[in-house]
Formats: sequence, C-alpha cells, structure tokens
Amino acid sequence: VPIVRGLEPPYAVAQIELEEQAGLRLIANILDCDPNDVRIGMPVEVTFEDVEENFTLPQFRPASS
Amino acid sequence: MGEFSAVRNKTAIVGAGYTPALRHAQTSLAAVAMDAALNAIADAGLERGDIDGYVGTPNGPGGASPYPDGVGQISAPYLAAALGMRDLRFSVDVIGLPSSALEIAIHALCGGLCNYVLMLRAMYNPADAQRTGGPGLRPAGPTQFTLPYGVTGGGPQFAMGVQRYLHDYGAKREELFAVVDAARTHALLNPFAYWHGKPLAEEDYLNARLIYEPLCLLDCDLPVTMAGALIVTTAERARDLQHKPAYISGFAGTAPGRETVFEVSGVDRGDVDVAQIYDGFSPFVWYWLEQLGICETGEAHTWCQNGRIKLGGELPINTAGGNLGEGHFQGFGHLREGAVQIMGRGGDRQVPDAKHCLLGIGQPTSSRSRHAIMLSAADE
Repeated sequence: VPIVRGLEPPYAVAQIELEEQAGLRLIANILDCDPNDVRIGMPVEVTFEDVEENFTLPQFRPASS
Repeated sequence: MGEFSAVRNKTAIVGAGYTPALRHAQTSLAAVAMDAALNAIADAGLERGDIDGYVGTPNGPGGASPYPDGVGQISAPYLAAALGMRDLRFSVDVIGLPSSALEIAIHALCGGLCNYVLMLRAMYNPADAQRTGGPGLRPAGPTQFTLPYGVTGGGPQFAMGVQRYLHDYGAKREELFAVVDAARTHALLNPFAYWHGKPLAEEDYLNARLIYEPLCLLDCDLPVTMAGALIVTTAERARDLQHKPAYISGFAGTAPGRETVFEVSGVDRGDVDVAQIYDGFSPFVWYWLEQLGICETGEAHTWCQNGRIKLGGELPINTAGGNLGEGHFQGFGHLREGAVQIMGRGGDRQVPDAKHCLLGIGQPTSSRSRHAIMLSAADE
C-alpha cells in the first residue's frame, strides 16, 4: 500500500455526490481548478490521477459541458 | 416523569481538582494526575480512604498512548497503586468521552456499588507530539478514501461541514469570532487556562492562518498536558460535605425522539443560567446550540453575536475558556467548570446565582456519540 503523498497546500477537498446514486458521496480533490473557485453545487466529472505506479486515484474536475 | 428521569438529582459532584494547562509535558503524566486527584479529594473534604470508586478515561484522542502507563496515560490500576487505593469496590477505565465516564459513575452510585467515585482525565502532550496525519501515513481500510486526498483527521472533515453550514444559512466565517472571543475572554479569568494572560483581538483572529478553510488556527483547540479530577457521590452523602453540591439533574443523549436533557432534568431551556459546550472546533458551539434547541437551526451564527454568550450576557458559555481557551481537554474541563459554577466557586468568572448549568459534551456531528447534561444547585 503506498504511503500517503504530501499534498502541497492550498488544495481543495470536497464531498462529491454522484449523479448515478443520490446520497452517495465520495471525498476527493478538485483538480484543474483554482481552489478559490470551487463552489458548493458546482458540476464535476471524474478523472483518474496516476499518483505513482500501481496507485491511481479517482479525482474530480469541473465538468467539461 | 419519563423513564430516564430516574437519575434526576440522585448524584452530585462535590469536589474538583485540576492542574494548569501546559503546552508540553514537563513531567510524566502521573505527577499532574496525582495532583489533580489529591486536590479533588481534599476539595470534597474527604480522605483518600473514603474513595471506593474510580472511573477513568485513560486514552487520548489518538487512542492508547505509545508511552508507558503513568507517563502517557493513567490506567485505573496505575492510579489505584499510585494513590494506595488498592481496595476500591468499583473501578473501571472507559474508552470514550468524559461524559460516558460520568454516566457510569452515576449508575455505579445509584446501583449502590460504591459511595464516592473519583473521576480522572489526564491529557498528555509530549514535546515530540505529532498530532495530525500527513506524509508517512499508510491508508488502510476506510482511510483509503480520505488520507490520499489530504483528509488526515477530524479538522478537514469538519471543515467541509462548516463550509456547507455557511453556504446553507448565509453565515460568515468571521461570525465564529464570537465563539472564540467568549472562550478567550473567559480564559483571562482562569489562571489554569493555557490562554490566560493572552488576550485575543478580533483583527488577530481574522488574520490568523487558515488551517482548513473556513477554519483558521484559532478555531482549533490546542493540545496540552493537563489533568482534572472530580468527586461524585450520592445526593444523600453530598448534603453532608463542605461545599454546596452540583447535583446531576439530567443526563441524556441527543437522538431524536428520545427524552431530552430538559425533560429528564425538569429544567426548561429558559431557566438555564450558564452552559459549557464542547468546542474542540469553534463551530461545534453553533451545532450544539441548535441541537439543544437553544436557538433555531441555522441561527446560531447570529444568536451568538453581541456578547450574548460572554459573561454578563444572556447565556454565558464556556466560562473557564472551554477547549479553545483552556486547552484540549475533551470535555472534562467543561464538566469541571459546570460543577464549579453550580457550586458557586467560580471566583472572578462566577455567573451570579447560577442554579442550572447545561452541558454539551462530545462532537455534535452526525455519527459521533455525545451527551447533554444538566447540573443544578438545588436538590428539588
């Protein structure tokens, strides 16, 4: 199991509610977005971040459409 | 009278002992724990040999201490041996809140298992303490969903909830200053508080470093080394002791549909003179006030303004400073100060003629256990 990487602040942590299942929430970072621009309710989409070999995290970024 | 009102005014806190909050431990924890225990016994006007019950809460916030018993935590066997109290009739270590320990003390006394219970909480913060997570932690089990995202403890999780509160109710993070201001102002009147002698200006609060936005450094309590002890006994025995007792008039959880602390105690919200509300993070005071029905949901952020929760206000809260003013004591300081206020022994910070003190102990977030307690002056 990988050791947790040290994230450089500031970074945004959010609870993301899945469109596919209301009430199911994931904790993730919001990528490709200035943390100050993150808003409650903003639509996001999943993206996969390769942290290191054999360690990929589901993450989210502002929805493209 | 409901089913749980059976505990109303059956027991009382009759003695309190504590030690100054120190940022880092200067000695082993045993030294400060013994001081607090012996102070409490003497404060109640009792002798060591009178104590026949013990309820401790040995574990720190991170679970069992890596340091030896007596250095990093105080177990019941250690305490009994150190104080020469080997013939206790009732002795238990509780993994949980100080209020859980009080609940067990109440039931042990009501059940006739013992006559005088010593309750002890001793917090250890060594010089090399590393209290938060970060690089080097290994995700395992549930933490695989939090640690890789920088959610390393309670703070980041609570911060998201606060962000949601601000969003839903139109609150501002600046309004949290009212909570911190009350704690820090009251700490100036408590010589044992870590922040005693260190006033906090609003400007300094607003400029403090953000830790988990919207929470800044001063919204978080400060880990300290300190110890506190209480003596709890039956109402009958309490009447014969030297101080006016703080009767435990109500004890309740906060689950919807269950009896509230107001129903158990028979004390109305409007009759509460002072409150001690767990404040490991400042917004906990908002949540607690709303859950207790002191104010409406979503209104605590404005309700707390204009000195309402400071000494001299409508409902003084955390009169010894609470966790934010006194130090990270996980609610034991709240219990102790509640008793001190009802006993009328608060000195410069005494709420005049305080008859009922409401306590909220524990984290008022969805999945955490917590207790509401009422302490009252009169055994009615």
